[in-house]
Amino acid sequence: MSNDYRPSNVDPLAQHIDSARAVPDAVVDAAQARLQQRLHTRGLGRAVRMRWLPLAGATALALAFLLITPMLPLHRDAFAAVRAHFANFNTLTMQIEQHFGGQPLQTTQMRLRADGSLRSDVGDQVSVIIDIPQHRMLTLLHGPREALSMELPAQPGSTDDALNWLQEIRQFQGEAEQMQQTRNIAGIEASGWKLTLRSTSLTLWATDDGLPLAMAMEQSGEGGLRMDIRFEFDLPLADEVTSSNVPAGYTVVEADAD
Amino acid sequence: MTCPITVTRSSAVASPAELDIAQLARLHGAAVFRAAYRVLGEASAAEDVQQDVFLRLLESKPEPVDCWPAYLCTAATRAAIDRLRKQHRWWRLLSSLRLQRPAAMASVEQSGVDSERAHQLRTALVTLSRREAQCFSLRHMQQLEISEIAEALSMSENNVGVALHRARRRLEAQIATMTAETIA
Repeated sequence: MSNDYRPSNVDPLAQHIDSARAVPDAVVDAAQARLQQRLHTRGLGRAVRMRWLPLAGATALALAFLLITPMLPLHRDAFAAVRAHFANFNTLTMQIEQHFGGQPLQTTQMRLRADGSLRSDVGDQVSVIIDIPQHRMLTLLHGPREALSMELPAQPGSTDDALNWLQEIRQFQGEAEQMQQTRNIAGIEASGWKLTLRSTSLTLWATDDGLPLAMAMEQSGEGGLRMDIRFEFDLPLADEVTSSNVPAGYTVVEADAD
Repeated sequence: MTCPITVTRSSAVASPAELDIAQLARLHGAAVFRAAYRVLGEASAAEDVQQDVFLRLLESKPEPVDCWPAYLCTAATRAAIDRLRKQHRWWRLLSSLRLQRPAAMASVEQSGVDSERAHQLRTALVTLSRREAQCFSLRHMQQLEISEIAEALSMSENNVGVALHRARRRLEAQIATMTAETIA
């Protein structure tokens, strides 16, 4: 292969192309090593991807914990009650505070049903709703009152599947370590558990009978992103909260045409 | 310029079922990652594309492939462009959250003239049609021959040439605008 478009050094487009073509060897080597390792160990099980939509990052991270906890190999007995809460809830409400570089980034409220439907309200600006019964995702921009509705992919595991990470996270393995210290959360004494899941460090606080109250998550690979989460189980949740029907007063906008 | 991917026309036509995917990944995984990275400019996203390309191979029905390097490079570029366009759609739609973007997508591409140029090119790339972006990326970022692009995208060579011409003109205009805004 050769390039017949090889303009002079002062051609702006050529300069931009040259800049974009540069790929650091270190990231290539790291990616290649991980690819081959996964091929070797799991027949190309894909990496746990907690990126999905950046907007839904908090949702993904929170659910990552929920989904991996049943498989944590250590302290099975002591952790059983905690796992039971995450496995058997009707609704779960999470208040998620995100920090980056020590600075507050945003506050998100996430409400989740047992069937996987969820609503993530990012500040007062944006809501993302995943409606499992209707198999749709709805994004609401509250400022301009715009709505973007799209169908969820039919086949989990396909490329661009918005919920790929759900299945992938189930394959995740981690270790739990009970902490010595306790913490008082809203007047309730809680014990701490430490978990390290690849680049994400979790500290979970739960009562002695296993009711999870709070969790802190830090991602070392994402530039110092930290999340503090408060849990509330089985609060009443109206049907419309996780409905993908476009609410009155919102204009439906289309995704870009190609 | 030396081509980063050695494309050899093999007389033996192999299908995925006949191949060891692990061997393909070992031979061409780095090139697939590079192809995705050049379009996306972000290691984690490029790694996702790299893995998707090989996962699709595992999941796909066997079909003859004449030239694996070009096939894989094209697959990675197409997937990366789709991802770039999707990212752009979301960030445009969620413009109210745009300030979060640098934090959420921190990468090595946030300082320096080269990084700024690369960022500008990727930003301009999403304003092209998907087909123009594919042709441009395969030609100038992955350095495939026009005949290879035509075959990979099921286009005539003439149409590839037209798409490339349009893409260049549009990108040149976009970059000139961005540069003027930067200077101003």
